[in-house]
Amino acid sequence: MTNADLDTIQAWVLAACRDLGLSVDAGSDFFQAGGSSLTAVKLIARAEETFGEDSLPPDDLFGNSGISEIAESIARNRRQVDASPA
Amino acid sequence: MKRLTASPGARAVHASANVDTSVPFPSDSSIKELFEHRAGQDGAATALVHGERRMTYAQLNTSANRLADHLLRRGVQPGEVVGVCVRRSCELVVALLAIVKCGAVYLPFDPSWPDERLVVMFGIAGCTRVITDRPDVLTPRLPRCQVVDVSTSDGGSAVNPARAVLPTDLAYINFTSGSTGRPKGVPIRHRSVVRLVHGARYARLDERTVTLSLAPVTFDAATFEIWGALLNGGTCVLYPGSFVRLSELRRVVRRHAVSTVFLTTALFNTMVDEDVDALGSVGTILTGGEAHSLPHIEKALAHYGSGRLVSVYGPTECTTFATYYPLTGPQPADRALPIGRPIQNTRVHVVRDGRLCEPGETGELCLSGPGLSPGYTGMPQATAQRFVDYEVDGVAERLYHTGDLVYFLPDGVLVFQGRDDDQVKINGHRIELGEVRHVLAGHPDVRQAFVTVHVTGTGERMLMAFVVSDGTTETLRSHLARRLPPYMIPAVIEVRESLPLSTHGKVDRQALLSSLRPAS
Repeated sequence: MTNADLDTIQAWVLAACRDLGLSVDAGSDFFQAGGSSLTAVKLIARAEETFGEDSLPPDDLFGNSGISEIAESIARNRRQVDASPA
Repeated sequence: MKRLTASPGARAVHASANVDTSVPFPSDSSIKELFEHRAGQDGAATALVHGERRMTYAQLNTSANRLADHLLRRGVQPGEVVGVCVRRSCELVVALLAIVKCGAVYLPFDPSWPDERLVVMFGIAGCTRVITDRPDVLTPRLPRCQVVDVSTSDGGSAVNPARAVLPTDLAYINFTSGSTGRPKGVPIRHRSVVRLVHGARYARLDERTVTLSLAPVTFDAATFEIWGALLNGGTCVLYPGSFVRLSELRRVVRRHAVSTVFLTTALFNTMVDEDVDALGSVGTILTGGEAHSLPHIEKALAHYGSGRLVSVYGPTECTTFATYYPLTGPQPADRALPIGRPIQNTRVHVVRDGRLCEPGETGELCLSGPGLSPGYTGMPQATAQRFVDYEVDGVAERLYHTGDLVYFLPDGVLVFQGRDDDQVKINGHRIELGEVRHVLAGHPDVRQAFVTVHVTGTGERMLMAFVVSDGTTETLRSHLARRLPPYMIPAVIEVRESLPLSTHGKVDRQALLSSLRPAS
């Protein structure tokens, strides 16, 4: 996983949060920016739609809710559609 | 005794609304008796499913009997209140059943509630003993309680305890927000639970029923989810995660052929927005708790068709549900979605100025019947204000004043109009703005506090507080976190020099909301 991948994912997270009505930047925390347990359901649903099932485990989101941490969790958990050979 | 008068028109519409609500039900039986009967009749039937685990009625009954025996030998008395703090699992249901089998009363609580609040609740309920799956976490937090590990298995007796439980005995206590700063304990009798789940009109509840336990057990939707299955020989599937995920919800209901699901309005709307087909395999979807969003209802109807969606309504004081309204087609856009007709063995009255209202006339919804709580624990004055004996058309009835404003359509169907006070629903949680305001104002640095609900651009409801104080937002937030459950802490707390007043001298809510600084 490259830094470019992580940047792309983080950009997606920022856009998704803003789409859900939150005012966020890279240093924000999802819940402190006004995210609720319902907004979390929506964010997870959208992450799974984009990055595959289980790409954003709720335990990760609720435990580490900084924007960059959320991006890291997705990067770790998403389906590898373009896995490169070892 | 107060009398409620009624014009011919009012009498007629009330007669029509309540026409066939009184039907026979096992009003002489307790939850203990009905469950033990089911376990005896068909012990091999599946009672619970949790992930890969299954428990038959016989297994569940045996486990509950062993725990009950353990509790009885430790001195649990009839009518004693026992706290329950167990994650959703077979063990949670074992704990509830064990307490009920002792003739005791379960008090569900959440570990995220602050210690101070737990102390107040336990004080009101007289609770000195709790059952938990986290004794190591709770024991240091509850020094004055006896903490029992739910997995205690010292080979207790597997037979049904001899203790007799009356239908009028209390089964559980749920706490709700209190407007003067203290939460209110709402005790519920066995008979009220039996009335909720027997011969149900709002959904088919029988041996083929498969419910989904999704609501936290501190929410009275759990009464329907758990006992709706277990007192009817059906199966209760326990949602396997700690947090709701639409993809998981979709998987679980299909995997286990769940037939009946209740979703709070807020979660229902979210599902319709993000994955409308998540409950595509479910036969009956009940939704309620807040005013419905017609666009979401219409989108859901287009997908689910007629007869699968049911609007439900009911305060905790009347045991989960009081009215229901099956959705059979496109809904008129010029009024709110109806809350409908009373469920079995529940009666509705629309009251204003000492009389029953006619169709079209807005009044307060008052409920009667065996679903009513006996009243708020240890609060005789608050109880006397809300639970009142009336003579209605020559018949004496005890009515609960819901505070909800409604009117009848000509055919006796009820439509919700709002409330006249400061009680709000957020994500299905009932919150008295006064309770939040009271706790804020209790901070020594706070001179004035105003708490309100704001609906964001995406339709989400959030609590906001505006405070005149020398303190910072952070100090106020931790002050609240020490006293209130997380869901009652405002998402936004803004410190102001002063609060703007309208020409009437009340806090100008509009002015405050328009002046909001963007969140950072």
